[in-house]
Amino acid sequence: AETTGQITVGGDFYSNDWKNAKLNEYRLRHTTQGGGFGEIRIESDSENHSTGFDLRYLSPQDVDLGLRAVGYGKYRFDFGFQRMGHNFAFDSKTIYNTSTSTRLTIDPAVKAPIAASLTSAALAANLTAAVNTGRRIDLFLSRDRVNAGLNFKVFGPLSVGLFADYEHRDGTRPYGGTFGFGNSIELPEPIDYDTLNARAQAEITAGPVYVNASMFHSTFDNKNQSFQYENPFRTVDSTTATAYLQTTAAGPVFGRNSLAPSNYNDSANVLAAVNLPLASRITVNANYGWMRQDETLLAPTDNTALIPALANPRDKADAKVDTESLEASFSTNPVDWTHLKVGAKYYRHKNRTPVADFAHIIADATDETLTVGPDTPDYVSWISRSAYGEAVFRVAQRSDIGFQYDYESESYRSGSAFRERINTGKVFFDTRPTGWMSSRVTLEYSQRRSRYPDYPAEEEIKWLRKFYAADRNRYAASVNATFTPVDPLSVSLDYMYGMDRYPRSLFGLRNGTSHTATADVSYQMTNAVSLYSFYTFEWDRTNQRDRQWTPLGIGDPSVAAFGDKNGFSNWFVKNSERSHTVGIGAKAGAIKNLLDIDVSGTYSHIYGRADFASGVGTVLNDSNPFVPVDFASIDNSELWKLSGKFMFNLSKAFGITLGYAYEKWKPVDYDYDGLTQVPVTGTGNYNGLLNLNTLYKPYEAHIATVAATYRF
Amino acid sequence: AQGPSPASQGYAGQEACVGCHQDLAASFARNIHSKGAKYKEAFVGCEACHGPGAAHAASGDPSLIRNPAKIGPRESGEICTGCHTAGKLSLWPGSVHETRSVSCTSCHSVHHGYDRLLRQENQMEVCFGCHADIRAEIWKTSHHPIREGKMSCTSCHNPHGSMTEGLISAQTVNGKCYECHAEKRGPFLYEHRPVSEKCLTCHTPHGSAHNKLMVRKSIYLCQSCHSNSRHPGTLYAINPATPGTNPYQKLGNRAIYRDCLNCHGNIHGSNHPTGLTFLR
Repeated sequence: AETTGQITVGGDFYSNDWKNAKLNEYRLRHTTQGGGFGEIRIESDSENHSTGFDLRYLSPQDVDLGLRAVGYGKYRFDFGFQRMGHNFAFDSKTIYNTSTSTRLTIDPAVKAPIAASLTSAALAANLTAAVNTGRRIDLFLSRDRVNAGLNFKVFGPLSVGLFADYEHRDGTRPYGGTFGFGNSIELPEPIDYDTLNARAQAEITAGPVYVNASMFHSTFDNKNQSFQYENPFRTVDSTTATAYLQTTAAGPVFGRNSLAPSNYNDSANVLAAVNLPLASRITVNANYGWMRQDETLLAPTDNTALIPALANPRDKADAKVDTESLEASFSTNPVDWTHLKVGAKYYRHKNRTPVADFAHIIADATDETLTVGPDTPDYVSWISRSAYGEAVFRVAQRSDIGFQYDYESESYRSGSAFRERINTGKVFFDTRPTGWMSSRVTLEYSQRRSRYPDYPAEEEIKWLRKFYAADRNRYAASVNATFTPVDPLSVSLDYMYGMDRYPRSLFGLRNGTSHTATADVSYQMTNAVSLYSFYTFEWDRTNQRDRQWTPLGIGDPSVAAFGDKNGFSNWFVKNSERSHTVGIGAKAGAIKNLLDIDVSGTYSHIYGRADFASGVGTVLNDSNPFVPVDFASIDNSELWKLSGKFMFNLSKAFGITLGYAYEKWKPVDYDYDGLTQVPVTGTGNYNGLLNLNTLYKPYEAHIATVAATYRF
Repeated sequence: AQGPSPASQGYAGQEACVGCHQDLAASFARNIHSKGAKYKEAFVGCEACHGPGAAHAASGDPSLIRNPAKIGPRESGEICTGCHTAGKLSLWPGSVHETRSVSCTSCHSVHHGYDRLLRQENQMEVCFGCHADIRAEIWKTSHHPIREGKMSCTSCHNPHGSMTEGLISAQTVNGKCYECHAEKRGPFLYEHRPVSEKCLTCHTPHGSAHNKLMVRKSIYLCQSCHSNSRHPGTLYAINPATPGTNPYQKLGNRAIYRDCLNCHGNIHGSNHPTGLTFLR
């Protein structure tokens, strides 16, 4: 056997912002300003077998390991382990004593002045004092993932595959909690997840026939099915549950939220394909799956002041969904100048969860008194039937034109629409008229028509359409051209356009357009030197209309006298987002067999805004009483990333790499202006949000790296 | 048996190829394709893909040997699918890449390939060669850990063919998302309809300027569909007459920070008996 490999050991140093959660978003190395890393790669190859081993260690929380063994023509085995972090905030403060428990409590001495606050301004001051002396908390997830796969030939045409991956995820993540509209409290949600996916398959390849039968099993186990958090504003359960009252006057002493329920999903799948004469093929795929979730239900409330005590109609969730699909396709390439394909698919998603009446606490129609139910959850089920056809013709030497038509019909139970019909037509033209030029053009038009009812009074505004189910006309076009005027130079230009119009959506999302243009240039200067660059511009816009209204108020469309789609309480928002992304890079063997250089840079600039239009009225007539100010910064950001690697090959076996990287990220958004953990209004009052300061913060870091590599 | 007699069918034999193409021989020897003799009876070395080469070997005329990189995509594809018929390759015939004239050699290099014999050092660069718009997406603020190397395109897509839209390597789009985000799978006691139907209603998987890969800032995304009484239909814009100097002072707690999600933390579904509005 011939064994080759390399071992790399090195270290890096961060100049500043090394604790920044965004810089470390998918790794976890904030405990030190720098550290060591290493990588081992070993390959062994013989006439009958090969094995491979890869280990990449960047920090205790950033590890990749892979193991591979192949017996040529007999089996393949893969094993992998991956550890990664997902970081949200490293420098937050919390008024709660514990961070990973499922019951967050507040020290009584800390809580007392908060709950006793007599004014909103005092509340803000007392909360701020509690936060300032609170416990420091980092919010992050650690993810350990193991995967293994074995595929082996049993005999003749039969091979079997066994695949599994398991992930353990734990830590905390930012999570929204509330005791009513008067307050929002950001909380560290405890995460302790185990996910296992396993698949077993048998494949038969016998002449023209291919059959694949597989079983898939997935379980999700959450150790925390609920989460309690103390209400900083209440020392005794309140009998008033209304959401709109002053923060300290309503709600229970503890809130309890349900968390992601443990569940499982099984499915069985059979795929069969038969190759026929004239380069034709029939493929059939059938799948049946079932998802189940049967966690014990929580009590409707933890508030002991609410009388009578409320009961659930059943003890467990008993949630169950079955899915089934059957699909067949036929493709043929009978002569060199044409390719045809037709297919059809049936898919059913059936939610079989029993419908029952559950207690409803906090809000009735006017959100002002406690009511006791019922809420009756309904569950969406649907059947989708679709068919498609595609024909590609060679119309000239190295030029193809293609036509595609898709039809889809969906019927819903408890969906936003009763029924949807989607017709989609697509035309594309591919040509490579010369050896130095190729081009692709695609045009698409899609029309969705829905049986979508007007909403009844007080549910949604009467003429609202949820965009994912509304009538829609979709237009899309893309053009690509690639040129290689001289062999080492390649220039590629792309443009994509998309527009969605929702012609019957008088309210909600009404239209959206997008433009994407990209230019790519690569140049192979010599065998040892290559350069590349790209630039992408994107521009997305949406328009939506909405209305402020109070049930039975003057803006209520169900009030006949005033129910008008052009009501004066309508308002409009136009969102616009532009982004520029530029990248350059070069790889060069600067000094033959001695020095290799790899440099790259990327710059991304995104800027969005929201422009409003609204009639001005008064609070009394439901209309917006002021001229709204546009938001000039919606999730704007700038990202710079520059890196350079200089690899000195001191001998055939030994090399030194010096690296430098510069990273900078800067967000600009109205949410960042004046952010504190206890924001106050302009008059100093508490504005109803106690947060953990988990918006990602800007960073700027210089990173130096040195590494030594030994090859064998 | 090692297959057909080379001499009788116009084959030159691998030794003859190596005699001239020494630069290719070294890399090919470490390539799984050079091991073909162990599991393919008809294996004849280089000529398994290039066809009988005796005439070419005798004359040196490049036109007398088949070069998969220079013939049409369908023809070169047929060479590869002569062996690669199962597993992830089983749905290649008739797949969208095949019918759009993408050939195996568009992405793979049998002689000089990197891992999985790809033409580029990493999978992203191979895919971005055509899907240039996606490259810009992964540099956005919110993104899957693709550029960090923790995921790759094939974590979600099978470029060789799929029965699912977008070459998704699962039975449904949601099914693919649930493989990693099984906590969103439910089924919940109270379900949020678009979650059950399609994750892509609210999320864009390749990258977004907005938190949590959302297609728009959440406040406007939610108001695209929700305008029932009062607060979902409220215009959350700044009133210039409101005291204060920054948005936090001028806007209520439903329009700042994580806006709607400040309270509706269980937006993917709730298992709480009073979880109708996903507050619990």
